[in-house]
Amino acid sequence: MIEAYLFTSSLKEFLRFRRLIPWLILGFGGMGLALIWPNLNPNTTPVDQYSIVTSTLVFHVLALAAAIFTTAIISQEVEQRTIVYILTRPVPRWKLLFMRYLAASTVVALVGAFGAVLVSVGVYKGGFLSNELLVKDIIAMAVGAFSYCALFLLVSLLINRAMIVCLLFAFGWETIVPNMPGEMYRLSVYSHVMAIAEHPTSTGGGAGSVASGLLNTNAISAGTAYATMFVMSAILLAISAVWFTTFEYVPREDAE
Amino acid sequence: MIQLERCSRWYGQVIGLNDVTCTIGPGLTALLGMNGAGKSTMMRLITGQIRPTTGKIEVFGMEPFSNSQVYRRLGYCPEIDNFYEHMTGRQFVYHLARLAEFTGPDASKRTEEVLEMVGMSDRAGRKIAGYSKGMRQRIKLAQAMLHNPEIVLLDEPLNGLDPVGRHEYIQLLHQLAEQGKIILVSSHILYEVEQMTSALLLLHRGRLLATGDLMVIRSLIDKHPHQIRIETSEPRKAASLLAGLPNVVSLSFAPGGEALQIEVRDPNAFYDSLTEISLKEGLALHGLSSPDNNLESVFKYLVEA
Amino acid sequence: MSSPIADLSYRNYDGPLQPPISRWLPIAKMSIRAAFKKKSFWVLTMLSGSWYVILMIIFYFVDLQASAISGATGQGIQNADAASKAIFARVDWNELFLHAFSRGQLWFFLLALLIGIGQIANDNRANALLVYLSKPCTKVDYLIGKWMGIFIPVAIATAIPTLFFYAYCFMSYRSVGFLHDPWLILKLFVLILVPAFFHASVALGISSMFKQGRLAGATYAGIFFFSYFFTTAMGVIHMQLSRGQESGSRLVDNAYYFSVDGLQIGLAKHILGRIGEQPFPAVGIRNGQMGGFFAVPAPNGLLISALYFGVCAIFLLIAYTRVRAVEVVG
Repeated sequence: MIEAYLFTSSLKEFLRFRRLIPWLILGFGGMGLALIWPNLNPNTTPVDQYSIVTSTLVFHVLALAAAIFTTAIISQEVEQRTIVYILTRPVPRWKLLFMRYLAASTVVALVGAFGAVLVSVGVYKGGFLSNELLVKDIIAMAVGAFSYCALFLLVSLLINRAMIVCLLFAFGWETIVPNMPGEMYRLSVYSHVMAIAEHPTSTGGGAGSVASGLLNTNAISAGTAYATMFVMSAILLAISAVWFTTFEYVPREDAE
Repeated sequence: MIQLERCSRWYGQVIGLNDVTCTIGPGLTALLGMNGAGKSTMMRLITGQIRPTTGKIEVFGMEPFSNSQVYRRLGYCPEIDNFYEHMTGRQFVYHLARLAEFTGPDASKRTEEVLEMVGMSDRAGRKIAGYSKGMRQRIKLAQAMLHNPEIVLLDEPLNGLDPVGRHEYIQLLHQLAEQGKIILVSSHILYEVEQMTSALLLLHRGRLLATGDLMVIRSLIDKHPHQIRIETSEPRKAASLLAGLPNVVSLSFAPGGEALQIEVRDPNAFYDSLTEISLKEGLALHGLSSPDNNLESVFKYLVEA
Repeated sequence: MSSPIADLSYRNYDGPLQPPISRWLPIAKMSIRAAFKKKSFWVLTMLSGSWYVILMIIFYFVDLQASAISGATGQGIQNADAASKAIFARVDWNELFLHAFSRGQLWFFLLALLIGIGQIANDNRANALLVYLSKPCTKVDYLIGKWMGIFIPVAIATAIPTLFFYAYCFMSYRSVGFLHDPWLILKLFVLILVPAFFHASVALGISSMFKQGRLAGATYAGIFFFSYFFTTAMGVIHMQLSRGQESGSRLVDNAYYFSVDGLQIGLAKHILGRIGEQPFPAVGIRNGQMGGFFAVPAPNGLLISALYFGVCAIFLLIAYTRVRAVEVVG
């Protein structure tokens, strides 16, 4: 089955050890931070520790990973000018795009889950599975991964220097908008992901809420967040598929 | 069968291909033109990477843009020298075989076959990053031949190949053409094309200047009489005998005095007369050549026109 | 007798050299020209000064409000002017520049990413190093040219909004205490160089390690954001500690600056002599109070300077090591 091959080959490509090294470092960095946290501030509870480190680090790393892996779906092929090999094969373009998107999202979700597990290990040591927030976090990260990837995929198809725009979104928009007054926070993916994670720090107030980027009360329910992210991803993917199917990819002589 | 009907392609203000109509059938056809003539644009149109701005293009009666049915029967060897450098040659070909709808075992088998065919079996285990230009060209050809396509398009395939490699490559193309496949090879090197085929598509500044057999095209260029060089120990005698022939336009003695240069209108009629005269008058001929009866001259004449 | 076949292999140039400036300047010029031609460069430059625009809007409304208040109390234009002066006299101008500098960090980083990260990576990919180093220019010239190609555009992008805002304030508020710190302009000139020097050095080092600008960019982005998250976490700890105690942990306070932007902000605090407190003392809540403003004390000056220059030196050394001279083909 061509679909299965597209997915597994892309997965294998994205999971090459060299590509994973930065994420391993980030994951262990998160664990290290969780480990030293009690030394820096002995007054915080394990739940707070875990919640703050995942909110400040892992959930933001998710957006960073999405930006980097998503640009590898098509932009990298265009930059390397290898896109011609895959576009002249009897594989419908939408299928190619969708399976590679699935693979990239899976890897991003794995990167996030890996980070969350390591932070949990850093906080709870051997009893890391007793962390009540962990499962919800992993689910939230999967949703976040698929949503961010869908968004960045479209961006990467529409513009040449997608990486900068994606980073700007991930760390500009996603940091500022959740803290804006009124209902603006509803316009960020991060607020929805945090609504699914249901961290005690994500409901507004406290130092953790500053860290998690949600100074406002997050009134998004988990159900609404799931639905919003699903609809958003579906729409973005549909637009991406239409665009990719009709766009002409001519090798750029000035590709950078 | 590839058919272009009044096909034009614009890139913004620049025209890549201008109102081209032609049909490309089985056999080896060369797409010839200088850099920027529109060869790659035509290749991209036929391989469905881009769409014509105006006009129509059909491959097997279908529009090729993003058309899987066309890609099942078409192999393309692009001009670019870009690969997945971290892969080995074998992995690269296998990967593209899987994308060409081969199952795992079939893809492995077919990969070995095409690697053998292009003479890369023993070196396919190495990473592409370490390949020479010639090896890269062979790997590109291998991936184009994977699914045994009916149409093979090769964009500047001989770039970087050594003389032996070129010879082998051209032989391979001839074999494929003999199997009834449609082979279209683009090149801007006249010498290369001359060795490959006499069936031409001549592009210049986006327009199709000429199409068909080289000799037929040459014979149709009336403005430039054919040059014939006759090597003989009696050039003066030869001149006096040949000057009266109806097709002869001009005569001159080559420097050194052992050859005669003649310009004629109808070379075939002239050769018939020449044979007759030399036998009848006992004229000793040491050599006969036609210096402008080649692709370079044809190209030059057409472009100048 | 020499071979009839020409030796066209690339080799290091070993002929006479022009003065150094003539060697690196053409390389730098090429990069600078390319940067200035990019629309996104100018967009990011404008965005890096967005905080100054916000400040100018605030100033406008403060002026307007002062007039409205004095108008409502029926005390006329003179009092409006006095009210406005009273407000502006309490503004800490150095703090304003420090805030704007801190908020410009993301934009400076993106500028470096846009113009700097591909500098050597693209040459690596195109094998252009061979061409450069076979010309009358040394490896050091090449590196200086590339470094300047990042340094100058980033410095210009930082300078434009900063100096424009300085000029605006000088013209409008010099009578209400803007010239309170007469050395401010000199401090700003030093400040402008901080991001340019740092990003030029780091981006060049990272760029030299890759053959693709995209991967180099991703690596720098990873370093930037991971260190940013780390310092955010340190900021949280600082807040938690300073809520419970009078003063936080010095270790945490120093660690707060261990990031790409943190190093620059830490240095800026020393240059401007401020710690990033509320610039409008009448408004907001100070020092670690929730829902308001918190300012982490300036780091140890020696430590932050050593770290800043140390990081730059390491990445420059990486670039120097990675840019290899052409091997002569025997």
